[in-house]
Amino acid sequence: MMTKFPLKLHKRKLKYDRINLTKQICMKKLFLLFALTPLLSYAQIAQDNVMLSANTPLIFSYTSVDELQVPKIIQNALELKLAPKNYSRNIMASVNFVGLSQNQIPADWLSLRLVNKSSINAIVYKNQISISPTPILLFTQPPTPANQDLIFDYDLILNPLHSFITTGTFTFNIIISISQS
Amino acid sequence: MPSLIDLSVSSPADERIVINNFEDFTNGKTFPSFFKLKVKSNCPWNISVMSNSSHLSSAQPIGKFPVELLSLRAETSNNFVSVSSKPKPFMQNSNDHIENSYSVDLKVDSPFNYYGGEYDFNVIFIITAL
Repeated sequence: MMTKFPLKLHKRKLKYDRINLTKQICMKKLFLLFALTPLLSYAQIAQDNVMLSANTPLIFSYTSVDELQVPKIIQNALELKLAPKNYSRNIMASVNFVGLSQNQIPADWLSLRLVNKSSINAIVYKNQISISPTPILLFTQPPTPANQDLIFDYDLILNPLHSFITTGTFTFNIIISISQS
Repeated sequence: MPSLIDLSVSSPADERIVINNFEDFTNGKTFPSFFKLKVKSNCPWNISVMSNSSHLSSAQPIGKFPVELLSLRAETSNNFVSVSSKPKPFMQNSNDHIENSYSVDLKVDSPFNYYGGEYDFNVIFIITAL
């Protein structure tokens, strides 16, 4: 679909297209964001979204100290679905631990590992990547003439700990961002 | 995540300690690295030490040997802590690492006023998450 609008405007709007996993693909949020944009651009932006869904409950638990020293893996935990487009996009991920400051969470504690993808031309820079509150690039999806959605499956990995950590129950949000590249 | 903590204690395969010369008998004797402590924890901790009895036990009908003649020193400390039948603070975490290993020296003070013989003793290490 061709846009009749300046590219700059389009990029600016896409930059804030974020999806919150724990709210089960927060379409309401997207709608609110889009509602602030000019109506003429709404149709195009609304079609370019990324869907993140959990294939299984994303719950980690520890019962012994030895478990701290080995990775905990939820296999095939997440599915990321991307509509094909005729322009290139960057897909980024970040994590937010609710109620905790960044220095209370070990760096590189949580990772995403790509285990399957249907895209034949996605540029994946690293199969396993640690996520932090700062968005990090998962992959670049070049223009795709296909009609079917592109699927990316990820393992969710809690990496071994080496230092003390605040005890208690943590809640985290995984946030996926999309921007035109 | 709850507080998770684990302490393992090891000592030499031959746990017999022998005091059989006059100098050691007079001055006491230190056995370096007699115990090895391996601590795993996700939170700060401390260790207390005690014995299960106020005296060392012996199969022979000989005098009582007070457990206070034994003392321990962690490699993180310069001071020996004498063992008693009540827990005494011994050491605490020196860093925030999940896993640490420490050597513990054992000292037997001069048993000059006690009967010679073979004695058994138990040392109990108690670790507590803080």
